[in-house]
Amino acid sequence: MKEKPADRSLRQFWARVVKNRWFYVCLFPGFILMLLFNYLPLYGLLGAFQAYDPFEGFFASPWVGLDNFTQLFSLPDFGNVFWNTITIGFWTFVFGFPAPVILALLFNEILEPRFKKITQTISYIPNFISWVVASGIFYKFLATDGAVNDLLVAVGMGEPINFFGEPSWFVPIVVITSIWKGVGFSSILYLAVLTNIDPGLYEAADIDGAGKLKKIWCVTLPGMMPTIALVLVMNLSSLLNVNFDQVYTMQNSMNISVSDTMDTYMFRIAMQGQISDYSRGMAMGLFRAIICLFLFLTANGLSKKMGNGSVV
Amino acid sequence: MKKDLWMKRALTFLLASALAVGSTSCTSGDTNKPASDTPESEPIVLNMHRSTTTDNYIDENNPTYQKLHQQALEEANVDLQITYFDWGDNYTQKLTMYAASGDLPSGVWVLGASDMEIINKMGTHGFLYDWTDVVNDTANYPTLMENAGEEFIKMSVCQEDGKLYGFPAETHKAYPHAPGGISLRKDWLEQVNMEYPTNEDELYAVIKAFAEQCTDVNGNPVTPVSFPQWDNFIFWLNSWLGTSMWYQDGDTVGYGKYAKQDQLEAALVFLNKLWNEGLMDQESFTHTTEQFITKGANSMFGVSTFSYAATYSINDSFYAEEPGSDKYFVSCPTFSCYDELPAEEVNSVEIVSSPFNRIAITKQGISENDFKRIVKAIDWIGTYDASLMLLMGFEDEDWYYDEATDRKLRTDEWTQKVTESSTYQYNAGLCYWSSLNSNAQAMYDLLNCICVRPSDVESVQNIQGHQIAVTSAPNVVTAGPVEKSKMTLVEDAWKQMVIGAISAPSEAECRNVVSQWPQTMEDLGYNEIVEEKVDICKDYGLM
Repeated sequence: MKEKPADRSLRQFWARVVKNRWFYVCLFPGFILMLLFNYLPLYGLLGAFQAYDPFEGFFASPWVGLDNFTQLFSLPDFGNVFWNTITIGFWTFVFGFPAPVILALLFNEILEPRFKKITQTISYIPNFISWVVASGIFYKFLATDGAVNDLLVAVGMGEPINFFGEPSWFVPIVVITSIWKGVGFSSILYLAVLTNIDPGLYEAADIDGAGKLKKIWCVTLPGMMPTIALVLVMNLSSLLNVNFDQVYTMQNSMNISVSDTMDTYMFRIAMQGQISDYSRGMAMGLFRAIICLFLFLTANGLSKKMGNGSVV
Repeated sequence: MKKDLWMKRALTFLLASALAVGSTSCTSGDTNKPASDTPESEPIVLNMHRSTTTDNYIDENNPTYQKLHQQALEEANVDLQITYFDWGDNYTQKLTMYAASGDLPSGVWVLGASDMEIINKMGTHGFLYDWTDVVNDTANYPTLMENAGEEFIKMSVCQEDGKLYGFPAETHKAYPHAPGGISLRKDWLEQVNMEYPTNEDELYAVIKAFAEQCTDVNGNPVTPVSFPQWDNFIFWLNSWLGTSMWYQDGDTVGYGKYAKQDQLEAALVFLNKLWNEGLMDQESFTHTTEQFITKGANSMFGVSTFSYAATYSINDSFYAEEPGSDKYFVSCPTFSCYDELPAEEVNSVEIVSSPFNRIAITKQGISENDFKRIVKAIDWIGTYDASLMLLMGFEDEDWYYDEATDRKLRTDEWTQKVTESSTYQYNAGLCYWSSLNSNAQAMYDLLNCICVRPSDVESVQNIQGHQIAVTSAPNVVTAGPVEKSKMTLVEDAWKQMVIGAISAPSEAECRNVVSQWPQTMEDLGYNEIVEEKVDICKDYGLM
């Protein structure tokens, strides 16, 4: 009997799976992790619409509809918290997004391979330091008797600055430390893309008399554009995902008016408050997720329009 | 195309299966599963939670602790294990997590009103054993509670459904003394030739003298005042406010930190003055505890507020450098609005409490019969003799009865033992000192009792404005829904107000900031919180 096309397709599918079984084995743990930590907890969204009680659980806590959201939006601090999140996310994006691109371009111009490797390694190292440790380091450096203030006083810049005590310094500190920590690791992706650009294009540019900057503008950047667009979409969608660890460890009573973000606010009302505030914390989380989804779809649409394809 | 379709179907099926499996796991866990009885010949392990306010956890070689442990084993074959958590940890949050995950310890400690909310819920959901009838069947607790009084019982682990889910707290016939709001460098005080300040003018004079005459380890001038962290700063305010917690004055109920407007203004104006004159470390509210300890160890400040772990760490470093010297932070008596106490009340060490105050036994791995055995084990500790032993140590070794004065006095051996401790030095000012060995502070918190050092009786009698930690009804009842939803907002606003007042550029601006506080409080619902609190106290029969 002749094999049906559907059966043949299924057989071929399983044959491919068996042939590539070790790749699937490698993929399996990551897949399970994703299931456990990204999909399974989704049922917790129910808590945003309930007066969640951990003793009752998600399926027995009373249903309150949109009350948690109404209460959340009417909190006096909500507007400030939302604005702080946008501000920190925006400036981190504005300065933090091009930084790894620029660094990758600079690394690409280094001719001495050993020096290139050393500088790249040094640039990656901060990424592996936890924010708790990194914040402690910066607290030391930026203390009124720390190295930075000692330097400022030594060059005649006046009195020491209480960097962590003055709210106006908080956002610059967050942006700069964020770049310091992440720029090296983020540049790896762009460096990988750079190695895939056809060297023939650079030769052609040489023949046409292009200088270094012209080559970067006309050859390198266009070659990186699809990757840049992809990262842009992902970064835009996580605009509101201000790094909780970083902000929480650098936050204190004096700068909280500018450092209180949706994450830290959610943590405070949900985890450090009373039992019933879990619901409001979950409502805040869901609200933020919806905005992130909106930003993601917008950025994806923009990317498609610019001709760089769609992420999804 | 068909291949893609099959892949998508397979993935969808897997995800749906995972969600289905996951949803079946959202149960309340095994907490309510009845445990089986532990055979009489085997010890019941009672893993009890307790906070510690120092880094010196209880020493298992401590003879008194060993006696306690041994007695519990002999009385009812109960193996007492204590798990400590730092005072700074959010115990309420921990309890919630334990309950939500179904992974409770066998004994939990009810720290305060916020925990009682959770204890209530745990009790009504069947996570905890009911002590009510069991306590009445024991040998010693009925007498204890009769002595303590009905109100004392109500103010303890009282529950909405009328059951007692935790053993009652200590009575306040003894007068605990919070170790002052202010700590000073004792050697600096001697260097500037001044006495312990007893009011804010004298305190200011001491601070100025420190700024003018004292230097740090590098010989640089100091900024005399610094705070370890926000929460410990509140202890400083207690000097002005009397209490930062709920208080009850007749029919008036209020939350000390927020409601004592005049005292709050006085405190903040004083701190604002220190701030603007450069006498207060402007990193007080931003530096980490480690930075504070480093500054303290480097003698960069000489006046601070009481902070268990941080102050002891600084004193430990001084002690390591120069054991037996006067170089350490010592607690300064508070000068608050309370009147001087009658001497006979100050000297009281009448013990009518159990060291296991507010302990709640969970059903996690503890059967009903096991619970009865635990109660029997604890019952011995509730006797006067046992409490005395835990408080004072062993007769003839640590204390003796002096017929002439009709008091229990310390032996020379005990005095020698404790004076070698760095934590002793901290309390060597005009504070009470608790019993046992150099880890006495940890045991102090375990026992929650006090002991007056005989040599300090006179100085204690002379203390003016001695702070009394009197438990008031609003502090022990649970929080209602209004308090739960609004208190965090009021607290946040209060912090902002305090920071704004202290860092205001002038006294006038500082007063202006503080003057706006009552209206802010009202706008945020403070009055509703108080009304609800009064209603709850009345429901409990405490008002």
